[in-house]
Amino acid sequence: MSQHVVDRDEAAAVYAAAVNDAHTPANGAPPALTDLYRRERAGMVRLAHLMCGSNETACDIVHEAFIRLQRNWSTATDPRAYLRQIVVNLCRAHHRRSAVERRHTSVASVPPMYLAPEMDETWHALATLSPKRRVALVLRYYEDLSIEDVAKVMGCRVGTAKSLIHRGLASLRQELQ
Amino acid sequence: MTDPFEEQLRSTFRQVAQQTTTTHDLGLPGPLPRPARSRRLVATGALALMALIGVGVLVATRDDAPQTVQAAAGDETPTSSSTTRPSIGAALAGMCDSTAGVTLPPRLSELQSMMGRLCAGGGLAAANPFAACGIDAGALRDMLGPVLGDLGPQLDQLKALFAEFEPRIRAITDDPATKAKIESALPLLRQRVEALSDPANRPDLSDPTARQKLLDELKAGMAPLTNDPALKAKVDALANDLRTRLETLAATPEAQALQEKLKAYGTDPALKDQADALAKKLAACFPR
Repeated sequence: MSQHVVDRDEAAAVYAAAVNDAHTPANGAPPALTDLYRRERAGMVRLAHLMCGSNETACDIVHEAFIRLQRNWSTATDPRAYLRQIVVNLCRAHHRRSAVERRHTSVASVPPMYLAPEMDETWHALATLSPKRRVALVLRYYEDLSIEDVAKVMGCRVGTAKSLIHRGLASLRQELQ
Repeated sequence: MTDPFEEQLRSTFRQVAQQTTTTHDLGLPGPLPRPARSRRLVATGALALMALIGVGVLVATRDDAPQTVQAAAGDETPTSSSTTRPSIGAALAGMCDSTAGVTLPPRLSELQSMMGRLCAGGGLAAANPFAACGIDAGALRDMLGPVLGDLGPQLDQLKALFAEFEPRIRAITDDPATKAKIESALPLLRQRVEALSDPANRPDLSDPTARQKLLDELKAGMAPLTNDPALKAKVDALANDLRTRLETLAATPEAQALQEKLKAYGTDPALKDQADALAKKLAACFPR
């Protein structure tokens, strides 16, 4: 977690660079990166929130993702896709790290959202899914990616992605019945 | 054919995503002390408050019979599930409760705290006028995001100006005689707002005569304050000084540059399209 704390300061520096001036890069942030930050940060926080279930964690993950993107900026051919890939990977890493915590955390501890009742139930049911299934469903039904693209982002075969989505939906249905 | 369950999942994702950035930018829970973020917090809070009040006024002019609307923010398909929208009366009542402990004029921290309580209690989310109109509030905020960033330094100056004038404002409002008058006028004001939130007693606000009558009643209610010559002189002097300072602020090169940016921002074709789409959705949501 100490890595996270260090990175938050670095993230704040990137954040300041992005917000203060998009044309005069500070802290080594290229203008295109600051533009990307302005355009994509909010969307990526939403995506990460859906995958990891926590707004605060999502913010940390997206900051971390931008820092990693900045480090590899020169080699990124499609920065947005690369950024999304980093966010997905970081969310999955977060799930792995917090596996023990999740085992001892009840569904009721899902951070409260103010949703219509049927959506509230769905949101809570999502917390019971395995991380892989949850990520697959978010990519498929929030990002509207094709099954092939879901497989590509998750680094698995198309058949596996299809199975994760199918079983994720089945689990959700069962949970909601 | 689209599976209704998949549609529900999509709607849930959209709803949660919509609240993600909203809650985050309102600073719940407390953010790290980053100046840029606090600027965004104030701007977003003010925008949300203005939007709530604006939409509240619009909704108040409607017939308040039980309303069933197409919900699911951003979902314009006719197959989206319908749900009952919480009445604006409930939202106004929530606002009154939230503001009960706030003195006039409210401090900046009190405004922020009020926004926090509204959000924590689900007041804003319950009213959810954007979702009810099929408008993604996140998209609206994103659209305004670049301008908010540019507005930051100006907002800081406005905050500094407010802080500078606050002792003078407080000197007026804390004067025992004025305070007594304010406290006597407030319950009446609250009573009238609460009456407006009651569909059974609400006047027909689409009628200009009814609107004028309401305005006259409000003026009459505030008469002890507005008719006090000494108080009026103090307030006028304060307002004149404030206006002078604001005009000076608006004439600075930074403010002029911002105005130019705002003009350019307003002529961006992509943003214009987004704004037009939002206006169409709003127009469709509220009957003429």
